Amino acid sequence: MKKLLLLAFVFVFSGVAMAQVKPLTGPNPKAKKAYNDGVANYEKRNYKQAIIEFDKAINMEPKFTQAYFNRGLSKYELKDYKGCIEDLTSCIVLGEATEKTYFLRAKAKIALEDYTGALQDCDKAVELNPANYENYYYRAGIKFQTKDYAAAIADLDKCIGMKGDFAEAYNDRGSAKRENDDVEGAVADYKKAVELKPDFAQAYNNLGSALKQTGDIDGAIAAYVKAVQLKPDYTIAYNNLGSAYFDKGDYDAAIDKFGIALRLKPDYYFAYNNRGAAKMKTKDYNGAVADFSSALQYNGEYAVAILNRGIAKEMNNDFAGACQDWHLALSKGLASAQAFIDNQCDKK
Amino acid sequence: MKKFGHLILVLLVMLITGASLNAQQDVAFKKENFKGREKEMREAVNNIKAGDEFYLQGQYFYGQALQYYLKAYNVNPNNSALNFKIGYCYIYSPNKKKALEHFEKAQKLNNPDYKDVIYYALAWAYHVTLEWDKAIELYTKYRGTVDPKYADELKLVDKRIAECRYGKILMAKPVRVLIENVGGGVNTIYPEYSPVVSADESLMFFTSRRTGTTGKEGKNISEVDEQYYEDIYRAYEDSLMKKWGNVNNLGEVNTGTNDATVNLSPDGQRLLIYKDNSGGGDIYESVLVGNTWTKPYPLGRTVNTGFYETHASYSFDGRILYFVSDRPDPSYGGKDIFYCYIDDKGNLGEPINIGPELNTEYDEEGVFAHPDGKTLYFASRGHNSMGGYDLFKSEFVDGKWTAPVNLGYPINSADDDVFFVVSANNRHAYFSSFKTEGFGEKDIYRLTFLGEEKQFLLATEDNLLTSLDVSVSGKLIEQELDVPTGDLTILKGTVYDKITKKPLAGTIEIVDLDLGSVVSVFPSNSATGKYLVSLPAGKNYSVTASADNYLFKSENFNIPAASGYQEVERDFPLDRIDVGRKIVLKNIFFDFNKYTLRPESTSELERLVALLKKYPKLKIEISGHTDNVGSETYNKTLSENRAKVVVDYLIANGIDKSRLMFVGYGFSQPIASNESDEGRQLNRRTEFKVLAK
Repeated sequence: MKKLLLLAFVFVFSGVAMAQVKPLTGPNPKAKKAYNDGVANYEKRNYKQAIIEFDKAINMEPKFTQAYFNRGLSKYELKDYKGCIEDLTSCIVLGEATEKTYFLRAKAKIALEDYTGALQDCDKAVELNPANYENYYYRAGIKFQTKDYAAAIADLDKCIGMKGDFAEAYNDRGSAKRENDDVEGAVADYKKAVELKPDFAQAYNNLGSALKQTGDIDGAIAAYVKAVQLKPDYTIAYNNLGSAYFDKGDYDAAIDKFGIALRLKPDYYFAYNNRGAAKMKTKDYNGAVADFSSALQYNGEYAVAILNRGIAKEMNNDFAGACQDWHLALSKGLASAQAFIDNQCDKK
Repeated sequence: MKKFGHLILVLLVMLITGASLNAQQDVAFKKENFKGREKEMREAVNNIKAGDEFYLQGQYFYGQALQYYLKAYNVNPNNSALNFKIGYCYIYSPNKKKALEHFEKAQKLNNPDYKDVIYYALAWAYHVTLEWDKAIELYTKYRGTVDPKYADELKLVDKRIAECRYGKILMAKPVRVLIENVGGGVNTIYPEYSPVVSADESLMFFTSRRTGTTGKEGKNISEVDEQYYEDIYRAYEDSLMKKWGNVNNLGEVNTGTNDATVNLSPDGQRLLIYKDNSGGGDIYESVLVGNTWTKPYPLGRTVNTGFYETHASYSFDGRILYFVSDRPDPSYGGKDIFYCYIDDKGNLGEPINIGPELNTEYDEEGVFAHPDGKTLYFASRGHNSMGGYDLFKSEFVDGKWTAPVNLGYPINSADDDVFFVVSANNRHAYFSSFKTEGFGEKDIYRLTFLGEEKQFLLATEDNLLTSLDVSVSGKLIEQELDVPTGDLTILKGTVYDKITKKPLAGTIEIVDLDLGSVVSVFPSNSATGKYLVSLPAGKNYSVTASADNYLFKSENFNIPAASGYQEVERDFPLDRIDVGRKIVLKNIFFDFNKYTLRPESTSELERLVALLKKYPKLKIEISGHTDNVGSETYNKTLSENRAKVVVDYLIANGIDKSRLMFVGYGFSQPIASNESDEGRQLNRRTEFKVLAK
C-alpha cells in the first residue's frame, strides 16, 4: 500500500517537483546556491539536508516562493505534513497560488485527515486548471473519503470523459459505485479497468468483492484467483479468496487460502479470525479456538474474534468460557454479543 | 393393532411358522438340510422358539428375542424367516442399520411369502435409518401390492410415507443441540431412563433396573423379562463440578415390583410415579415430608381408571394436573392428554380432554408442563411426526393451545421419542436413549439447546482506491438471534426462625396483585425449610411466607414480560409473635404523595386481618414512614394518614379498634440511606409492631 501511495504521488507530483525544483537564475547568488543545493539533496532523497539548504535560501530571500514550495515538498516526504502546509500556505500568500501548490497542500491535508480543507484546495486546483483530468481523479478520492460517493462518481465521470483509457479511474469509480450501492455498475467499471490494464491485480480483487456481493461466488473466486496470480504476495486478495470459498461452503479450500494469507503476513489477524470460522464449519472446534486466540494475540481489542471464540467454546461444551468471551466482546463494543449473553448465559 | 390387522397378521403368521418354501435358496430348519448336524439344528430351533416367546410380547422384548435368534442364525444364516425376525429386532435396537442387512438377506432368499411384505420391512428399515427417499420409494412399492379392501393398511402405509416426507423436511433444517451423557455418576451398564429434574436442575429422579433394586420374596428379577425390577433413584448435581452423582435409592417409595418416575411437581415436593399393579397402569404420588418421601398412593379415581393412565404432570402453580389416558370417552383416538383442576384442598376435579388441537387419532404420551406456566411438551404419533412418537410443544395463548410444533431433528428420530423434561431456563432437556457409545442399555442424557446457528463474523478488506492510500474493510453485519428462553423467575430459599435460625414448616403464598387472586400456595419443607416456586413473567406478585405462631413476611416481585429467565434466592426469616417484634408490610401501596390505598394492597391487608382474627389477643401498632423529601411536618402528616387508612381498613373488616394504634413517624426512623433512590424507596414503608399478645 505504501508503494501504491508513492507511485500515485510521483505520478501526479513528479512534474510538480521538476517544475519547481529547476535551478534558480535570480539576483542573489548565495540564495541561488543554497536553493540549488537543496534541489540536489532532494533529488538524492536527502530530504533533511534539502530542508537545511532551502532554509538558508529563504533566510536570504524571504519571498523566495520556489524555495518555500520545495521545502514544503521535502517536509511532505518526511511526513511533516503540518510543516508542509505552512510552507505551501506561505507560497500561496506570496502569490504562488498555482494549481500544483493547492494540490500538494490538499495532499498534506489528506494525510492529516482534514478532508474538508483538502477538498477546498482541490476545488481551487480544478478552478485553476479545469482541463486537467488528474484534478478530478484526486478530488474524487477525497470525496470518496468523505463518503460523498455521488460527487466522487461525477468527478470520475469527468475524468474518464477526458481520458477514456484511464484504468485507475475506472477502478475508483467502480469502488464509488459499490459504496453507493450500485454493485452492478461497480462490476462493469472493474471489468473495464482490467480490460484496459490486464495486470491490474487491485482491480481484480475489487471485482471479486463486488461479484461476491452480487452472489456470484464462482465469479468472485475467479477474480480473486486472477488477482493472486498477478500478485502472488497479495495478502488481502488471499484473505478475500478464502472468504469466498467460505461463502461457497468449501471450508477446506477456505482454510487453505487463509493459511496462505497467514504465511504471507503472519500477524494478519483478520485471516486468523476467518480461518477459525472455517475450522468451526469443519467441526474442528479446538483448532478454531486456537485461531481466534491467535488473532487476539496480534490484536487484543479485536472484538469480532472474541465473539467468535465464544461461539467455538460453546460448541466445545465450554459454556462458561463462551459466556466469558461474549461478555468481553460486549465490553469491547460489539453489541451483537448482548443477544448471545441474554439467551445463553446464566443470569442468577 | 386393531386398525392395521392385515399387515400385522401377515407378519405374525410368517414369524411363527418360519415358512421356508423355496428350498433352493431358503434353507429351512429341516433334518435333510442338516445331515450330521441334527443336534445343532435342534438347538437352533429351540432358540428360535425361545426367541419367539419374547418376540411375541412386543418391541420392549425384542432385545432378549434377538439373543436367541442370533444363536440360531449362527447355525443357519440362510433362513428367510429368521432373517426377517432378526431384522425386526434390530429395528428396535440402537444398531438399526443391521436391520437392513437382514431384510435384504431375507429378500435375496426369495421366499414368495415375503415377496410383497419385504418392501414394507425394507422401507421401515430405511425409515428408521432416516433414508427418506428410499423409504418412500419402498413404501410406495408396497402400497401397490395392498388389496384396496384393506383400507386401514393403506392408511398405515400412507402415514408412513407422510412421516418420511415430514422427516425429510425436519432433517433438512436440524435443530442445534448438544447431547451429553450425564455420566457414570448416574448411568450404569443397566437401563436408566425417565429422568425428571427440579426446576433449578439441582436434583434428578430417574428409573433404573440396576442390581440391588427392591424385590419381593428374595427376588429382584422380573419373571416377565428377566431384568431387575424398576426402582426410583435420586441424584444430585455437584454445582461446582457440574456433574451428576451422589445417587441413592428412594427407599420406601420403591416396592417389590416396577416403580417408575413420571414427573416432579415444580416445587420439588411431589413425585408422580407410574405403577402397573393391577394390569392397567395408574399414576401414584409420593410427597416429601421433611426428609422422607412418603409411601406412594394412587391419585384419585378421576385420574386412575381401569384403563391405562401412563403419565402426568403438574402445572407450575400446582392447580392443574395434566395426564395421559387411553380411556375411550371422550377420546380422539389412542391415548389422549387430559387435565383436571385441583382445588384449594388438593381435590382433583373432573377430567377434561385437552382437545383436538393436541390430541390426534393416534397416541399421545409423555406430557410435561413447563414451569413457565404456558408451555406443554408432549409426545405424539400423530401431527407431523417423522415416525413413532415425536416430541412436540404447544403454548397456551389467549385461552387456547397453539398448533403443536415438532421439536425437530435430531431431538426427534423415526423411533419413539417420548419422555422429555425441559429445565425451567429452557436451556436443557433430559431424556433417555439407548446409544452404542453409552454405559450400556438405556442411559440418561442431557440436551443443551443452542438455538439458531450463530453466524460467524468474517473480516475482509479491499484496496478500493488507486488515488488514495485507503483500504476498506468489508461490512460486518451484526446478527440477530432468536434463541427462546423462558420468561420465568425461579424463586427459592428457606423459611426459618429469625432468632434461632431453625427451619420452619411454613407456607408460601403467591398472589397476583393485579388480579388480587391467589395464584398458588406451596409448603416449605418441614425439615429444611426450603421452598421453590416458579413465577411466570408479566405479573406483579406478592410472595408471603407464614408459619404458625409467627408473623408473616411478604415480598413484592414485579416481573415484567419478556424479562427472561432468572433464579432469585430469597430467604424468609420469620419473627415469632412476641411483644416488640415488628415487620414491614411490603405489599401495601399508596398513590404518590397521597394516602389512598391502591387496590393491589388488598391481599396484604386481608392477610393482616386474618392474622388478627387468628390471634384475638394480639394488639398492634401500624406505623407510617417516609423518605426525607419534603418538610418534616408534611411527611409526618402523610405517614400518619397512611397508617390511619390501614387501621381504618382493619376496623372496617371486623377488627376491634381497641387492638389497633396508628402513628406517623415521617422520616424520623429511616432503615436505609436517603441518599439513593433505593434507600428512599426502602424508607417509604408501612410497618406493624406487636404491642401485646
